[in-house]
Amino acid sequence: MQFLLPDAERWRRVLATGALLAVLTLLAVWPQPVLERAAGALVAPLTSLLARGAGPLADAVHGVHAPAPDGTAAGSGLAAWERRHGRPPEAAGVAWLEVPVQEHRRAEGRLLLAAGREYGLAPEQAVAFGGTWIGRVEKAGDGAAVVKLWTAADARTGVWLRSAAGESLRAVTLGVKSGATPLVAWLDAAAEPSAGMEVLWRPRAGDPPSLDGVLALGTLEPSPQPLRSDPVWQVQGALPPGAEGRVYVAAQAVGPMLVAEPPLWSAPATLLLGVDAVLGPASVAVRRSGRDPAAVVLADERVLGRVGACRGALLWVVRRRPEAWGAEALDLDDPPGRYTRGDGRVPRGLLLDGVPQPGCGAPLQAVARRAGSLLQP
Amino acid sequence: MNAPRWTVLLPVALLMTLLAPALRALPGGMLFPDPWLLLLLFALPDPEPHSSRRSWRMVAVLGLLRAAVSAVSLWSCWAGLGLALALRREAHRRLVDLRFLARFLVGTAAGLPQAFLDAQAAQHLGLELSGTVLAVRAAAGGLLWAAATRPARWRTAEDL
Repeated sequence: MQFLLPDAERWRRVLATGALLAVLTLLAVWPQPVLERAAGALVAPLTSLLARGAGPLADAVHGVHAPAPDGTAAGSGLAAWERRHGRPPEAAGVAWLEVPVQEHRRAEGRLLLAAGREYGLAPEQAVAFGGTWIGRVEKAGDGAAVVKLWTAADARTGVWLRSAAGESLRAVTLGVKSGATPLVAWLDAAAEPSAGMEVLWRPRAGDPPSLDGVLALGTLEPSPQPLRSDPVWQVQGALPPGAEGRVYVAAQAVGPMLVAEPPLWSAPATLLLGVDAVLGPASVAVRRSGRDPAAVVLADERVLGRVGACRGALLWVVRRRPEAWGAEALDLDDPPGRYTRGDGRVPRGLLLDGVPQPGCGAPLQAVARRAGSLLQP
Repeated sequence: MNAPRWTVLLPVALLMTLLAPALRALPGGMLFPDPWLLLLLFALPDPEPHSSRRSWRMVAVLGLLRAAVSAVSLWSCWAGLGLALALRREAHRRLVDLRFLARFLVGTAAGLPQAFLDAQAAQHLGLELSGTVLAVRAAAGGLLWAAATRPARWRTAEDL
C-alpha cells in the first residue's frame, strides 16, 4: 500500500498542475496547426450559437456604421495599370502572352506564374515587362510555371552594351546571389566598356530575332571592389514593380487566348460577430460557405481584413488600416489607391482604401488565390 | 466561504459571454478587465477547498466560452485562466491578504499571464494590440478584485 505524506501529495498536485499549464502555455505561444484545428472544431459550434445573441448586442453598442460607399470598387485598377505599363513593344513574329504572377520568391530569384502548359508556356521562353527583360521560363506545369529572373544566382544572360554613340559590345551577365547586383562575367576581348552604357538583351539561337536589342536590363557601372586590380563591371537594374503582378511571355505560336486570368477561389460570407470579446473591434468573425481556404475577406469588393484564424466554416478576420499593410501593399497615383501586393495566398490588386464597416450591409466575400500544380507544397 | 453552485455560475457565465463583445465595443471598452478572469477569481473561494477538481472544471468551461467569442485560441484561454488560478493560490500560501495593496498585487499578478498570452495571440494573428492596454486590463482586474473581496481580518471577526 502506498502512503503519501500530505506534503508529498501537495507536491504531486503542484507538479501535475505545473506540467499541464506548461503544455497549455507552450501550445498558446507556439500554436500547432493540428491541435488548433481540433480546438477550432470544438469551439466553432459554440461560437455560432453564442454569436446569435452576442452579435446583435455588439452591433448595437458598436455604434453607427458608415454606409457602404457608392458604386463598386475598382479591384482591377492595379491590373489596368500593369497592362498599360507592362505590354512590351510589338516585334515581328512574336505574340505576347499576358500571364499573372502568383508569387515573387525574392530569395530564389524566381517568379511563380499562375498559368502553365495549358496556356502554351514552355521552358526557355523569353519573359518581359514593358521594355524590360525579366528572364526565361524555367519550367512549366499544370496551371503554373516558374520564371528564372536574370538577376538570380548563376543566371547567365547574353547582352549588348550600347554606348551613347551607338556602338555595341557583346557581353554576358552573371547573377551572383539574391539581392546582389549581377556582374559582367564575359566581355568581348576587343571591347572597351565605359560606365553608363545601356545594357540590352541579346537573343540566342531559338529566340525571336526581332527582339534583338529591344529589351533593356539596366546600365553598366564599375563594381566597387577596390581589392581587385582588373576592373569589374556590374549591371544596375531592378525588377519593375508591375512585374510582380503580371509579365509577358514571348511566344511564336499561340492559341486563341492571349490573356490568362489569375485563378481565384471565392465564396460569399456573412458577418457573425462584429467585435472580438478579447481583441476588440479589430477582429471580426464571419461564416463562409464552402470549405476552401480563404486568405482575405472583402466587403463591397474592398479588403475588410486578412483571415487570422480559421475554425471550419468560421473565419476570424483581422482588420488593418491601409497604412498598416506596409510592404504588403502598393500605392498607385493613377487611378489613386492602395492595393494588395499579393503573395502565395492573398490575391494581388485588391483595393484597401475606403473599407466600409463590417455591419453596414455590404456584401462579404471570402477569397484566396488558387495555386497550380507546381506551386502546391 | 462557499463557492456558488453550477446552476448559478453557468447562466452568469453565459450572460457574461453574450455581453463581453458589446463591452469591448464601448468607448474605452478595451481597457476593461477580462470578464471570465474576474468571474473565476470571484466565484472560487479563497483559499480554495482541498479538492481542486471544481476549480479546473471552471477553468475549462470559462476558457471554452472565452474562446467561442474571440480569435484567441482555446489553448491560450485555458492557459491564461489556469495560470491565473495557480498564481493566486501560490501567492496566498505566502502572503497574508490583510492589506488592500497585497490583494491588489495578487489580483494584478493573476491577470498578467493572460495579458502576455493575449499579446502573443494578437501577434500571431498580425494584429496591433498595445501592451499598455493589456497591462491596464490586468491592473483593473486586480483593483476590482482587491476592492470587492473582504479582507481576512473582517472575515475572521465575523466568523468568530
